[in-house]
Amino acid sequence: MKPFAGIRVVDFTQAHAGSLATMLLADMGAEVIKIERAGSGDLARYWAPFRDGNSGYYAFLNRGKKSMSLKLTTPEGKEIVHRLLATADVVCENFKYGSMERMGLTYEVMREIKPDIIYASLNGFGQTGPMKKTIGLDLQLQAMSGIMDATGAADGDPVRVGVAFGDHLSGTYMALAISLALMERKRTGQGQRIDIAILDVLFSLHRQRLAGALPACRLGNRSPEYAPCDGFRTKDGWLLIQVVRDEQWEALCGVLGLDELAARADLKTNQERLSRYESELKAPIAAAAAKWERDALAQALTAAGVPCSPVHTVAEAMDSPRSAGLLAEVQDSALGAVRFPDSHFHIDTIDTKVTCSAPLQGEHTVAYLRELGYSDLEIAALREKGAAEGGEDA
Amino acid sequence: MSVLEGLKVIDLTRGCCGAYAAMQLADYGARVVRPGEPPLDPARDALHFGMEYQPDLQLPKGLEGAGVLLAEADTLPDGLTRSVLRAQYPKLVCAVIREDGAVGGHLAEAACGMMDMTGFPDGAPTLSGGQSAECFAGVSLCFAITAALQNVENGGEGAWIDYSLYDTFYSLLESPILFRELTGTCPGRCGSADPATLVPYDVFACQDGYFSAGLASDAGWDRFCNAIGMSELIDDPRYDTNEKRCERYEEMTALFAPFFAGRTRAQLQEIFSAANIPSAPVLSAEEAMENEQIQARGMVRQAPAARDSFPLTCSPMKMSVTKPVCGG
Repeated sequence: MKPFAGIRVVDFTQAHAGSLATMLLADMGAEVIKIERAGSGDLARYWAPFRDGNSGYYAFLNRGKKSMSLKLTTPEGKEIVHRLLATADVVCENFKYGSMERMGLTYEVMREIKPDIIYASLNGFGQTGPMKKTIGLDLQLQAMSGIMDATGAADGDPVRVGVAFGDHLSGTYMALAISLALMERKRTGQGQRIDIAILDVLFSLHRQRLAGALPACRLGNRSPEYAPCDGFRTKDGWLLIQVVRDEQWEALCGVLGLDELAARADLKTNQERLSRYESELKAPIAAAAAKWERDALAQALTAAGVPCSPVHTVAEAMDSPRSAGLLAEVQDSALGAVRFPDSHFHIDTIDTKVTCSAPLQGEHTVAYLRELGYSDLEIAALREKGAAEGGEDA
Repeated sequence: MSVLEGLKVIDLTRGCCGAYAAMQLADYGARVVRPGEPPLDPARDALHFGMEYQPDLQLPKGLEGAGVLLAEADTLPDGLTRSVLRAQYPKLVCAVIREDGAVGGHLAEAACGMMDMTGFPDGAPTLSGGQSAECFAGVSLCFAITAALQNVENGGEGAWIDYSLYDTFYSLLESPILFRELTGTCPGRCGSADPATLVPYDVFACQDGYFSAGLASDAGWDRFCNAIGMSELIDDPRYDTNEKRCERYEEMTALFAPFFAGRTRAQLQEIFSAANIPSAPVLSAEEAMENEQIQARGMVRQAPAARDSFPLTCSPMKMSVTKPVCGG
């Protein structure tokens, strides 16, 4: 059984963050109907990498969803959306501020059609505040939110987190908010408006630092609590070492042959090592680690009980036994056989394994038009006019 | 009344992921109970703000009436296996994080490939700052918990969520994974830029810190050149398409850098805003807290504390009906 089976999501999202939110809902059983712009379709259809001109990124973000291709600027297109909204539980969008309003699709309009609708918006800066109309790219949002300033070496430049972090975090928060809103609806019968901003979600991560529980500076790969914890360069790659207990310090010195350090009485406690790490410990450990091959050192340290991990490249991680089963193998309608990250939820009573393809653009247009009461004659007229497209074979 | 009122959560976790999952539940009304003594300094324990500490919490007895159990594999008491818990508490949602709470998150970030994607190409692979990746994992876990709770409400069984930070971080790597699957090659870390896709799109050192500026597509190159006073570049056949600029990323960076180096963040903000080019100063968390957009969005409140009050970030889920408790 899937928790969101029977929940219908009318999905105006495109690109990354919003599509990720509805992807999470679809993985948990929701019926997600993506409304794509007639002609061009979702922006993510143009995102590399491609196979034969078809986007792998689109296939990943939209697995298991349905697609209707509609021209929302036509009265006929609007009428289709209105009929569809009457059957919806949730509406999602991640356009820039004001776009939905220009299409006549405000929360107020939707609530007239479906009083308990849950309407969720997501964009860079949100629906309120002096910057609500500003376009925010991932780079700007990481920069402004403080997350970039917190990432990177203490004596080096700040750097962005090298994945689409703001998109994943905000999309996940949008899915969580929708999940809470569904619980609310069950309790009180009320729908509601949800407003997620990428800037907010990234900024909110600083709770510990702003409360004073973490230092107000970036630390690179060091820990604010333990030493030595850092990344070290070996002959053929990097290794992350994490010493959190005194006996692990002795073991580390043993493996690296740092007998003098091991013997020092003023390095026995974590507090002493933490205060002396930069000035006295970092260089000798780095020099010793540089003589090893990465995996040999990892094995020796692990055998000695020192927590550590090779810093794997993505390719190495993909080939490692630890990653077995983490990619979904999907027969995509556009790309053919393709692999991408599966749902990372492993739950004994909920099957989250991804098996369904992303839709071709407009693949389900005709099927939903029929469900909404359009006759074959009317459907032909809508297609003639360009208000709806796709689904020729349906 | 908050939406999760009436939900009791037993939280045995020590690490950031578990705390962050529990924090979302507490924000929306769940009663989160942790073993042990309350911290002397609540500011040092900000992730557990508003949670309840029970020095004499006994397990499994303490699970009576609980809807959720959160633990790391090494904090779950012996004997509390999936089958034992399911038999005794058939509706309980158990979330067990495989990695330990002290260093498990950092080791997972290194092992799964995420750390290698962050940092400068000629520098060290870098962990995400401020335990960001683990915080993300906590939000994601909380989503799974609320989904499982709804399964229970719909008449289903409880759940055993076998949660792995490695798997969670790996799921953030769709871009390099897809590149390798479809093209055979996997891009590496590239600092703050994206030289395979977009140029200019980068962070530059300036007089009082760092400043980010970039274009979302080929459009806007003329505005960018005019903004930095280098209109001669607009029609330069070496640089007049994004594709050509991507090929000459290093060269372009050297051309742009002096303009930024000679100005402050405020001056740059004015110039790029006027030119309508996506841009932003690199702010510290403390600076971001004072930013007018963050303030207008109600993202910070003051936590009442016995001695000194301290700032507490608020829930970023802005919802018209479902509200966090105490302005969380």
